[in-house]
Amino acid sequence: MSKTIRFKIHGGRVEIEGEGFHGPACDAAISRFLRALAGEVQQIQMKPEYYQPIVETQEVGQDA
Amino acid sequence: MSQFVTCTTVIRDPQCLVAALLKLGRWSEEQIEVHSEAVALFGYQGDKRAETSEIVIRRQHVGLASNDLGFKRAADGTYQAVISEYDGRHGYDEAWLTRVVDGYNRERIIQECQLAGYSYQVETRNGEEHMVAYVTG
Repeated sequence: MSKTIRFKIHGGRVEIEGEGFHGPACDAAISRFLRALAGEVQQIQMKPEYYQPIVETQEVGQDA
Repeated sequence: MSQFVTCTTVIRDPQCLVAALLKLGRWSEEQIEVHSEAVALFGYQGDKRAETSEIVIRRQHVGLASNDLGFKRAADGTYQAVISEYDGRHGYDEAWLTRVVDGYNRERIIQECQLAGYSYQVETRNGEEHMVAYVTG
């Protein structure tokens, strides 16, 4: 799944929504924009996907 | 989706502020003065005002009986609009300032996408305009 950051800009405020991230990767991606906007965060809401573990698959049993 | 953040913003980057003012479509680049130090603002009769600003649009480009319009850098590095009472009642009100801030935010996000090497585009969702940055790496 591709990782995107969606911005809704209105009324002098910005709503930032991370999509396709898991856990701290989302914090890192969003925080650079928060720093750029020098924003005062009013609300943070974690989506269920935030808490999903990152599963990495690896093929085993085959020697090179 | 994994996280949703709402934030208010402040204007710190003069380049993005000027870009936002230009995109309002009312002024050309030559009509927006950018100074490293604050300069005097003048009233509609050419009288020098006590207020100063680093970013200035002179009164002849603002309106018929207008005063100079400015954005002054505060000690904390943020820019505050300097708008006369008259102009505040003639088109340069809170709604106008909100449009400037929204434009600034748009420019700042574009600048950050370019710095990060992210591509971006404008999309419409539920009739609302969104900017979408595609994160790579």
